[in-house]
Amino acid sequence: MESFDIKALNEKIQQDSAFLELLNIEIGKSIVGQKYMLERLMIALLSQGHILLEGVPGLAKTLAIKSLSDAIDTKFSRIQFTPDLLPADILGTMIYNQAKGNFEVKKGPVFSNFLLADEINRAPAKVQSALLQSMQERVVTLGDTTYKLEEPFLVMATQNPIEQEGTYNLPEAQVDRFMLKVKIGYPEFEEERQIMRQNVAGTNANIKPIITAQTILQARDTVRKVYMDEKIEKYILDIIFATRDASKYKIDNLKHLISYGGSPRASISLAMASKAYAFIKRRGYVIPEDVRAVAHDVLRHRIGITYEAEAENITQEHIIDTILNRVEVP
Amino acid sequence: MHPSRINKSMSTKNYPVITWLRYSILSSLFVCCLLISKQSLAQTATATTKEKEYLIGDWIPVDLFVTTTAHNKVAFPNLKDSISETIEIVNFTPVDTIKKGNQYEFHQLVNLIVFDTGKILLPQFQFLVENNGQIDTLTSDAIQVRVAGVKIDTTKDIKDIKEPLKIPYTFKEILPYIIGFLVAALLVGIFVWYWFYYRKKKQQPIDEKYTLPPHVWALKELDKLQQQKLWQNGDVKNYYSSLTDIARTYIELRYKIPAMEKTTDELMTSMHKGIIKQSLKTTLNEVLMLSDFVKFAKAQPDFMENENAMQIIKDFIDKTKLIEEEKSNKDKK
Repeated sequence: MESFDIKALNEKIQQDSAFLELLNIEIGKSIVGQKYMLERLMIALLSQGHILLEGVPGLAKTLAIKSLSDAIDTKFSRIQFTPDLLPADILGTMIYNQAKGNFEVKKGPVFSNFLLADEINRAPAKVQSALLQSMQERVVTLGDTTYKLEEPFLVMATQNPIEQEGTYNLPEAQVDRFMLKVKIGYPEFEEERQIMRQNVAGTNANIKPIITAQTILQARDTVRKVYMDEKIEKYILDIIFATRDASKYKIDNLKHLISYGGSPRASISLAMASKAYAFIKRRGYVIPEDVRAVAHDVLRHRIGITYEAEAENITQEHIIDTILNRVEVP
Repeated sequence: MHPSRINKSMSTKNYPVITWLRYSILSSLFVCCLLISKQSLAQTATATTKEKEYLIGDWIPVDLFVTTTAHNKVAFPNLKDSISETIEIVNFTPVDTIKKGNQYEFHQLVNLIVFDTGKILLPQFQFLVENNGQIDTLTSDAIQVRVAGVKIDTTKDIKDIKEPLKIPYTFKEILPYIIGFLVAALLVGIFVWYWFYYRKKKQQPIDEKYTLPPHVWALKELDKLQQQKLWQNGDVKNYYSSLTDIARTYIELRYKIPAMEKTTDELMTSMHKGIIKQSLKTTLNEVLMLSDFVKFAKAQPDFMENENAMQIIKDFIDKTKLIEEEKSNKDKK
């Protein structure tokens, strides 16, 4: 058996993805478990996306992104979203310098590589949209000057699924800008025992930078080159179109449960995330398993459910599962 | 003797016989006159109304009455829809004949209507009577009636014209519409059924994979695939796509596993040891993995691998086919 470009690409991927192993080992020094969350963080990082995490407090969300930032030797910022937060608190502002008699730029925490937007739904819409604009366009305008954000730029926003009082839910159009929405669960029994022992002993691991931002940028280029066959493209489009018109795919029982389906951004995100997943698995081509592996995280915040679905306790997870089980795999 | 002569030569005072004769002649003449008048009185025509005053729009019944002797034929006026511009005929009865001794009475009731007020003169009616071969004309008298308008109390306020009264529809009235609607709905239903179901069904031939046993269908499809010589012509990707599609469809039909909607890993997990032997599962997995490489990673297997893949699938089908006896035993259980 012989293959053409794929063979060379596979070799390149083996080389370019070697840092992943080192990264996992380094981050593993401070974080026990949460492999799923770390894998999704890498997918978002490699495919130029952003990630929205949903989980109860205390699941090492902050520690995960801080450790990732430290291991990559990049800048990390954290913004705690509150109702009185202003866009300038995120983006920065122009401050008058009396000595020099001019306005000087005071850059906000958005000017970093890894930004943790903690409890993003606690700030009003104008603050959310200020951040989301910089996420989409990767630029920030202060005064008359537009500043390009440094790459890699990853926003990890968190939401608490339990407490909803005094929150401002992200509108559908804004939540669509997050490539992945990941739900984090509690650690396993043994993992939690280890976390407990580690914290009681007070042995705080010191994460050292093992790769540079340049390595990530190079890996991103390689991810884009991962081969995606037209059969896989069709499979991705079939899944997205099934969220929009389920009856076309003979999934009539979903028709009355979906109020709106995935946008074209969902197709792009699913394709990119699949490529990044294949890269993480050290493959130079995408297989249907890759698509299925990331489908839930790409689609769960992009599918609107109807009141009937809510009344029947049917969630986006159930809808995605049904679609994946009914759309033919190439 | 000429009477004038008698008048001239004789005086009545002087001749009592002559006076008696004179009276006799006069009496005879009087009796004749009486007889003649009686004859003429036997043929009469009258037109009468019960009232002399009617309200505008009321029917005015006019009684036409003709009396004749026996065997006389009488023709009543030929009535149409109106008599004059102001007098219209509503209806009239047929002529009724009553025999009274030697007399015959002819009777007809004509209902007239007048849409004018004031004094109205109902005209004379003419009747033709045949009398011993001669035709006489009898004429009734004209009748004058007064037609009064509706009295309006001008002291009271002017009121709007009342809306027509709304009478609820009865079931009998709407029944034809209901029947019409049901018939139309039935026709539309038949039309829709014909176009969207029957015709569509007729056009779509039943897929053989649902009629033939799974292994028969699968082997038939594999033969067809072999005859197409896809990989020999360089279309390796299509060859492996078709090969795996046939294998997956066979598994779906044979084991009722939704193989077409599962990835290779998921399919292998579904086909646990209880279903097939491990050796068969391993070889099947090899072919499916190779197919995935060809389909998604542009792999180009050599001709031996292509031939071998076909043979492995054929063997898999042959060794897992459900023969009829097994099937019937399974059904019995």
